[in-house]
Amino acid sequence: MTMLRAHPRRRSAFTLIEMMIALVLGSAILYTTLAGMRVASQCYTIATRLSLENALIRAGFMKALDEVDFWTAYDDPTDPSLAFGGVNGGEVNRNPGLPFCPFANAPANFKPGGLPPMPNPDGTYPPIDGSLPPTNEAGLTGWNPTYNWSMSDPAVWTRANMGARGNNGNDVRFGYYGMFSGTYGQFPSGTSGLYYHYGAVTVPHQWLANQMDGLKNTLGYYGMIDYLPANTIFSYNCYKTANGQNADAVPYEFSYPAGPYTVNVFGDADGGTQVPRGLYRDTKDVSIALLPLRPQGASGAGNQATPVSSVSQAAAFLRQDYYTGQEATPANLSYFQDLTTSKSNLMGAQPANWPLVGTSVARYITADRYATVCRIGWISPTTGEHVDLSFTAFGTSLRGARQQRAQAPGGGWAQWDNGGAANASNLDTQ
Amino acid sequence: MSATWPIDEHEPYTAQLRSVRVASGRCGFTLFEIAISLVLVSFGVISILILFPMGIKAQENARFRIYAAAKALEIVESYNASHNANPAFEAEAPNAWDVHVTGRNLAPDLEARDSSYRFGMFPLPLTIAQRLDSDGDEIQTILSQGGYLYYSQPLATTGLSESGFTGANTQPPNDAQRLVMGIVGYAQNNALYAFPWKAWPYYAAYPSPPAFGNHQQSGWLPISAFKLPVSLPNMEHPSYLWEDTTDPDIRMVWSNIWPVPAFPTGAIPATYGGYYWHWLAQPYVPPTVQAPAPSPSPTVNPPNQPMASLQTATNYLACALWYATRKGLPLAFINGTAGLADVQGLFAQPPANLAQQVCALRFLAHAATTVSGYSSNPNGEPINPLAMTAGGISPAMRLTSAMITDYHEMCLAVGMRFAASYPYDWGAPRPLQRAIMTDNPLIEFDLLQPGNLLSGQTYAGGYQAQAWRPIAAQPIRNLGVSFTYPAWNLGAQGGNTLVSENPLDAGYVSFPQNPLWGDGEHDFTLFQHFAPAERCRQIVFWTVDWQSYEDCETAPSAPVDAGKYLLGAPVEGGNLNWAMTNPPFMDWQQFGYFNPEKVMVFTSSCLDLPTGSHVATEGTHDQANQGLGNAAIFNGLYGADRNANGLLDRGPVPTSVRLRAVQVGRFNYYDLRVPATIR
Repeated sequence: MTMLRAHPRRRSAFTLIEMMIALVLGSAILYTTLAGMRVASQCYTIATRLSLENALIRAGFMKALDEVDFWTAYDDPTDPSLAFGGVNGGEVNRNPGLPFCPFANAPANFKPGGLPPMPNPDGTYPPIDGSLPPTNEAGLTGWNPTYNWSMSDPAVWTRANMGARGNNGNDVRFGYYGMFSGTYGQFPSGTSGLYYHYGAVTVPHQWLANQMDGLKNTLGYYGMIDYLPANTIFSYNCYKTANGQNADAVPYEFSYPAGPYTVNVFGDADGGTQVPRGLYRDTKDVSIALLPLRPQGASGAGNQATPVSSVSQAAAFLRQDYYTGQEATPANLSYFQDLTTSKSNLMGAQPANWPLVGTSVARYITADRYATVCRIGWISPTTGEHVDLSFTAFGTSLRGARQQRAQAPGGGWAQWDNGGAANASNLDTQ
Repeated sequence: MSATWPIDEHEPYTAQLRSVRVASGRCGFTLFEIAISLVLVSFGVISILILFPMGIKAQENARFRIYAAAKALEIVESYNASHNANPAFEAEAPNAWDVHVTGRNLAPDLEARDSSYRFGMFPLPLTIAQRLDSDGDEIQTILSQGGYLYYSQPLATTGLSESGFTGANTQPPNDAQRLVMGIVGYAQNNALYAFPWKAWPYYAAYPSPPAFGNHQQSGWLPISAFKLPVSLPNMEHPSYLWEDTTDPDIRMVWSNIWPVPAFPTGAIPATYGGYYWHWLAQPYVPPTVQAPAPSPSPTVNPPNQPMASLQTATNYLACALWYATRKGLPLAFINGTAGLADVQGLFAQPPANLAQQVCALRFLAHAATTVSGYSSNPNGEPINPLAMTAGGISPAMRLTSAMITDYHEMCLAVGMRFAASYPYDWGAPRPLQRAIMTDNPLIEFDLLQPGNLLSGQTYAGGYQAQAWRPIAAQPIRNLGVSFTYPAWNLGAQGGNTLVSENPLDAGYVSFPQNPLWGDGEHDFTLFQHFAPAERCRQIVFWTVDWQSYEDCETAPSAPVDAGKYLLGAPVEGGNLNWAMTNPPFMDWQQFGYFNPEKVMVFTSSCLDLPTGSHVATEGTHDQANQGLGNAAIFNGLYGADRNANGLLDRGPVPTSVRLRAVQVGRFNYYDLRVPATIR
């Protein structure tokens, strides 16, 4: 008979203690992992959101720079119906007085090619001399896009009386500078009336005065400044009497200290200054505006920036200066910014959870500086926080922008460098 | 272990009890191994999970790279396009150290030009900047070399006056303020913004009379200077005739009678001639109609009042004709028949006194045009001879309108050509109506002669001072004297004592023996060829949340360069206090001066104020930071409202903590060496 022995038993499962310990350890590890996964998930969400925001900001930045170079907020060459204030039906932004007026549409005396100038007050016309650079300026009034305004050319030197005050301060005791230059051919006319002392003399220099007058009437103040050389003295003799003229034929427009926000008055009259002066002195306390097609402040009744609904209204905004100087109030600056800033959303439609991104560009001349102020703003869809990035930039000038555009409304962009063929006409050419 | 007991296969119970275990090796993991492996896996997984937050960091850095690109564009645009005018500052002094025009404040270097309350790049407080770490310790290297870190202005960049935005909490937060920027690389030795001994170029209209103007300190004028009476209308200070310091004969154009007699109460004698008598002869009367009233007109002016008239105008012309003849102006110019060929001939063989002939034409054209306001003679106006105190009489002639036009044309042609051909001949002012870049002479300091400095004392305070000697691209001809300090010989080496009352005196020393100047022939560098790498500098951007420091707004402003204090030039009887308070501070006309944080600095200590308090800032109260007693405000010692929200802010990070600045961009650029703008 075999005796049964008690065999040592082998374990085939975990004990309760082991299970408990294992559960605790496993739970700890699992919790840590899950926490890490949760953080990773949140990080991924945030990073994705930031990535999206960054992409939109970059797109806004590029859009702002595109606007700096192509000026589509002021003139869209592919949409001829686009006009100020969204008014359609024939109102286009290429009329005289507006910065994208083709020179071919300019007032008659400023059309390219030197067409007959303004008649003299007595109805006669001086002879036309088409030579350039001007050696005989009689009758030369039109715009020539190829002339380079050399500083050694006597035609580009201003001959206004640098010591002349406006009409209420000039007793002409130092003579009539109107006989040296002006928009007219003879000074004076006839044997009676104004300035009869010396009889009629042929004015030798008409070109510069007509260039300045023509640029002002065709493009407004900003355009006039953009086209003229940096050392320009903003004064010339003329018979244009939009606001009257003084005894030396310098118009009120460039000499009378009427103050800002007055239509057809140019320049800073700080301290009652009335003598001819350059751009810094004319803009040290005031700014010259450029009006976009959709000013951000043009929102309707009750807003200081009156919606622009007509060409003449737009032109009026471009023929005055705005107070932005050392005592400018927040209201002054807010009004000016509303007038000069164009704002648009980056995208016309977008998912609701995407941040709303807008870009704006404002252009003006202030204190002898061509300011192009860009702003990219975005609103977080989750927090509602509004953040701005603003900066200034320099790109295409107004003249360059005009040369980018084909002359005909809706003609699109001008073609340059056509492989030997002639360049297409643009806003600067005939 | 094999079974060792005998196995009785016939015993079912035994079989049931039988447990054959073949323990030749393990067949499972132990719990310990599982635990270890789980820990190792966890390490791996968590290491990967840690990378996810780095994605956020990368996106934030990408965001700041966009900001950096935008700000770099703005900085360079502002540097190139903002005007460089300072219309209401002091530009001249007997010694360079008495005015702040040659210092860093007006240097055409990017960090000097753009660090202005108007242009948006503000120095970060030094105490904060010194707590920032960066790769290669680059930030601390910049600081140790005397540079600053800069942060962006808090409000939207507009280029407009800041007065309308100060303290207004209407702008959204500017994220770009978390960017800090520094300039790496050395600035060059630049051309002087202004030559303090004589702030050339002087401009005059062509045509115009002899130059004169207000001069506050009549006591420092040369004894021989002609001073106009203070009692004249609009004469706040006495005016004096300056242009005769270049040539005493010019006095005859001013008045043919010298010394100038008292102004008569009755009619001006027929023997009196010159600009002076015509200019002051008639009190200002607004024209009632556009045609000026012919004079004399007793119905317009009170009786016995000297009147501007055809006589005073023609006598003025007579004086100008005398001067032109005296200076040897070719006859064609005097006769009013000159043409461009005569201009070319004049410059083909220029006389030694060409500058004087240029001025002669300028006066001649001005005087002739004056006659046009009074003459009505279709055959030409007779110009009668006039006797001159300096000797001789003026030539007689008959003036026609064609001659007037010719004088005017030749005046401009000769004046323009002179200015363009001889930029280093200061004998004639530059034409006001055509300013060109060559009007500004190239003058720099001679840094290569450190043992040959100018030395002396400041006028205000009497402090010892030294200055480099100036050197010009060419020797300056007809240096003359300044308008502000005509009694100072520009050849004097330092000092502030009157040396000579007349630049034509024997004591006057002209270039190149003039001890004022350095060795321009060997040490002038503005024209030297250079390799791009020699002048390339970098704008470096870092991102760091410096506004999280508890003292982000209470830390004092970065040290303000002494040149940014607008010091008054020496005046008779002036002292340090006067120099520190005159001219008055005017933000809108003094851009190269003041603490860049000026508009935001606190005007009193706010250390005891709770966070979130409204604290007064200087804003545009210009005089609040002027004068010896306001040094704390000028220097921003109380801190500044650096985010322009109108409140005192303190961040959560103590000052003992160092922050890590992460580089986000580097942009190469070149500094100008002349104070120019692009248009």
